[in-house]
Amino acid sequence: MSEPAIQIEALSVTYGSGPTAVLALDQVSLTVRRGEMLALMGPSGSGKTTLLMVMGCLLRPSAGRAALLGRELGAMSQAQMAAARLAGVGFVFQSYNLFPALTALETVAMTLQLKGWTAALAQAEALRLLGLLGLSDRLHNRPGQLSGGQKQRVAIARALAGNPAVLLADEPTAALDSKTGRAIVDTLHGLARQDGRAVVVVTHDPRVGEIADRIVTIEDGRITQPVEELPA
Amino acid sequence: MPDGSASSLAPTIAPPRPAAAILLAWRNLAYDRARFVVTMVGVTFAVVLVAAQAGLFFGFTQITTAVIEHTGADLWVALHGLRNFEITMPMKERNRTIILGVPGVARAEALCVFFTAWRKPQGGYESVLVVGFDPNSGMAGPWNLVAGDPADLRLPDAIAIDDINKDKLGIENLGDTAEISQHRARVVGFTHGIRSFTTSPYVFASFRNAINFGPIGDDQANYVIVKLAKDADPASVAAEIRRRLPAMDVLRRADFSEMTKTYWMFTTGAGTAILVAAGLGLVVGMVIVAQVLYATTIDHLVEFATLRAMGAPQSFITAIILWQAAITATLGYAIGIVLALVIAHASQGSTALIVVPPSLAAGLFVVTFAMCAAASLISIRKVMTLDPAMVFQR
Repeated sequence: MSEPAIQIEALSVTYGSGPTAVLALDQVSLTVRRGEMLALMGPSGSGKTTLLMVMGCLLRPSAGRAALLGRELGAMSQAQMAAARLAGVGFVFQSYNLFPALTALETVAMTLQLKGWTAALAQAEALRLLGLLGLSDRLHNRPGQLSGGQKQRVAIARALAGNPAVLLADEPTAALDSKTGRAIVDTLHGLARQDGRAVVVVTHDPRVGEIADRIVTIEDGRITQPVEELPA
Repeated sequence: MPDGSASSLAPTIAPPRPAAAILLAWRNLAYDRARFVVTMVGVTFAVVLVAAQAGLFFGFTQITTAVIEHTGADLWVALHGLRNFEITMPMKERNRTIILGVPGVARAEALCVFFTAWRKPQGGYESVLVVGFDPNSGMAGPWNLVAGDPADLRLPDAIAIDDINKDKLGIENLGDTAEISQHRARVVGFTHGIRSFTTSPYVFASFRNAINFGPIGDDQANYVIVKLAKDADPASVAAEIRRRLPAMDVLRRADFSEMTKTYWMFTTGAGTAILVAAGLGLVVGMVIVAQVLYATTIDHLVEFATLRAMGAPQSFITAIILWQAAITATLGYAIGIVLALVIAHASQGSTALIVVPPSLAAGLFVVTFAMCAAASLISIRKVMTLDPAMVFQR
């Protein structure tokens, strides 16, 4: 069995308090291992993104326990949570969230420098990552000069900068056509398998479900589909 | 489940490289060129406004003390109650002889200073400030003579005025005549850049000619200006003069200069008004910069939220905004100070002198930086209170 990257046990998350409190996650338990691609599916408002935010150290549990790479969120300060995200998690967003003023190369290199890499090493690694994602001819293009698929690949390259153990993707194919979306899903799957990375994808896209190693379905804050552990 | 302590699984990373914050700051600013131009205009406007107002203050300060500083006198003696250079009561001119007898005094010369009426050749009146000095003394005469011969000031009725005041006094050329207190005055010299803080232009004349123009008698003077002997102690000499002439104020040049400066700049409120205007310029500039920096931050809010979601430390995000402020300050200052120097240079030919000394330029650089840093605080606060989860809710 590969190492667990994310461990969640009896997790509940409540937004607000008093009579207006909303229970977003209710007694959720889940483990995501390295080398696994997990698809989180479910209707809008079911709690998928909330679960993703807990997995990404952006949100603390209201009850229960959650750990990222062996460190419990409940024991971390905000600064420690930020440091844990920076070191161990790569994010891929539905709207790409690229910086309009930066080229593809600068985007990835800046992320590496944010993680303490020197400019020269960051440049070399950014070139490697963008090459890996087939963007060698788009190094000096800004987001406005890229197609949706190219933007998402730049976003994946950025998420991979510094080789995080966990990759969390929020609807990464929602804004893409079916062919491009399929290519992105294949890329994410490859990143899980080849590099022993835990990849969690929040999606409505059935293509993701077809390729993912596991599907977890959430409704009304509860996991409705039995969680099967990935074989070792 | 783990026990909550740091695990060997958890990776560690080095602190962010400052170059990344600088790159992002610069790109954020430069990406939207129109907004960048507006930002630059705002900071430049503030710098020029503050430099011009402060430069006016420095200029007026210089003007109020120009004659005192150019006399070359070490001590100024006048009737008790002296508050500024321009307004004094006359004393007996023979006091000069008493002062000459004080050990340590090398020279002592009479000087008269008074306001009087100038009748223009074309008709009409102006108020002038006559400075009567001894042309043989080498002290208190006009400087920066750009036309005419200083020796001609010894001639009857001869005067020198500043070329800046030609129009005001109705004078076009050397040799033109006017009337001072109904007495003929002939212009034999033009100076350049000797301005009066009051609205009355300086008229330089020999002591004897000045007596003819003025309200004081020929046995009177407003000041006795003293040049000390080499190695004489100014304090001791001043004390001895005071002892011999107890009705007199005896001031060192620097003290008299400061007294006059303080009187005109603060007692009259003129300097305070200028400083208030400079302060308002600073506030207006700060508001403009704050607005523009804030708008820039709002434009890049999603990017800042993304950085926070990625785990960028607060110090890194704060650094980006502060670098934006620093870049804005540096460029805005550079453009603003160049414009201010051009304005200061242009003011050399006008009655209002704007002086931008190196100390003002350096001080303004610090002020501009502080202004931009302060203006960025609202942006920093906004970004620090940003919920990084917003990147998942778009």
